[in-house]
Amino acid sequence: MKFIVRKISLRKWDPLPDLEDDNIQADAITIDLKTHGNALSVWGCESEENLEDVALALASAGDCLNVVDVTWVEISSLPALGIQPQKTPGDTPVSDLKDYHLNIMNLDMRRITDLAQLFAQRIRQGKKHRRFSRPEVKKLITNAVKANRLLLDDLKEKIRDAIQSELHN
Amino acid sequence: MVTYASAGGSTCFKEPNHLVGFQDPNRFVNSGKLVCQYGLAWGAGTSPRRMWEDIAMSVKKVFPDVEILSTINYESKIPSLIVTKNLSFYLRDIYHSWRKACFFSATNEADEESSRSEKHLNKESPNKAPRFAQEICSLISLQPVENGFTHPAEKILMEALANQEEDVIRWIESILEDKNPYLVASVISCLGRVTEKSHPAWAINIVGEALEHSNVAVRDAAAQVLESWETPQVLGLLSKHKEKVPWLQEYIGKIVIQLSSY
Repeated sequence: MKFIVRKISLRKWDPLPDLEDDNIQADAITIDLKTHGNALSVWGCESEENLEDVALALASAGDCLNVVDVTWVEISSLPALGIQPQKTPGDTPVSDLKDYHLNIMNLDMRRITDLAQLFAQRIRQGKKHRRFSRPEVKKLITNAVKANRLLLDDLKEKIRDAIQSELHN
Repeated sequence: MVTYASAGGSTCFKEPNHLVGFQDPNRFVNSGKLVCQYGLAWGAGTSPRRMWEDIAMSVKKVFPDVEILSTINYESKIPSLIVTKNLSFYLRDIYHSWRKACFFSATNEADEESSRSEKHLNKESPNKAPRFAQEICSLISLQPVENGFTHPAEKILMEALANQEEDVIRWIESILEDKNPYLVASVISCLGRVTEKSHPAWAINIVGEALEHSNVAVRDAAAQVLESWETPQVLGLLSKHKEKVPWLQEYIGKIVIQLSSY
């Protein structure tokens, strides 16, 4: 896998006004890069063309349809930060995507800050973030259901209803 | 001896599976076993913020695996301590453990003082936010509104809309003036979700106003709501909006194209 991809909220990655230009909002770290057991959940992908699969994995695991913001960095840039992602099964109903999940383990304050800076640089360069709009997300899930990659029954109620009506249209 | 005491018990709310909150230590003592599946909120009206930092450290010593989430502000900027743990426990035991450990001492005198302060607060604040507003703000402070996941504040907002719509409208209009853009954006997101199918005219007006907010987070929340409503009714709002932040400008452009095709 060439990239690690993380679900974020783009609005949290704009610098705060009235501070130095390269500042990173605390919310970006404490909410968007929230760790569990000092591990950060990310998804891997081979190319930027596969970002749709990551959005599908993320959106289909939720319980309501919203936009999905993602950012990504090259896996090759991680060893310099002392970071090594490990494969762990992903929490998504799309079975063929479960193996694309990674955990970045043993994160301490320095490493999570370094990682945040790396994400912030990429996002602010303007090329390493993507927002999947709500209709795009709906279409990704609908297509996955049509292709039998995902069962309607595996979706949470609100999403299932939305996809069902999309299938009937 | 420094006496720590909670406020006079103005808030006691329970959201099944999400939150149990108390402000009065007497309620801990009197309430017996309570199942606290998500968290414990403890607030004080008259105590300095430092007190809560002390309690946070004390709780951590007594219950090492309890996660201290954050401190929050109620509508009157009352500092509060939030402790979370996904298990059931006896609140009475926690209260006595704190006392036993000399980390926390509540006296009748302090309680009376808090109670007096609270009465004063109510007397001085005739425009105190309604109960549903307090609960929504507390829940948003506890847990961020995240894309793709239902937020517990949505249920409170939906119930309030069913029972006291006028109050809700007034409150949401007033929240647009709040200094905390994080709170404003979160409330707008919740509003969008609970009115997703109906999107009444008053909600369109409020979200339209939010789209012109000075903070990008609020504008983004508003744009996402307008997209989620999937109605060409909001095209005018989006088309006339002049966005300076490139990624949001791009997103709004996309929504306009999508909605124009309906």
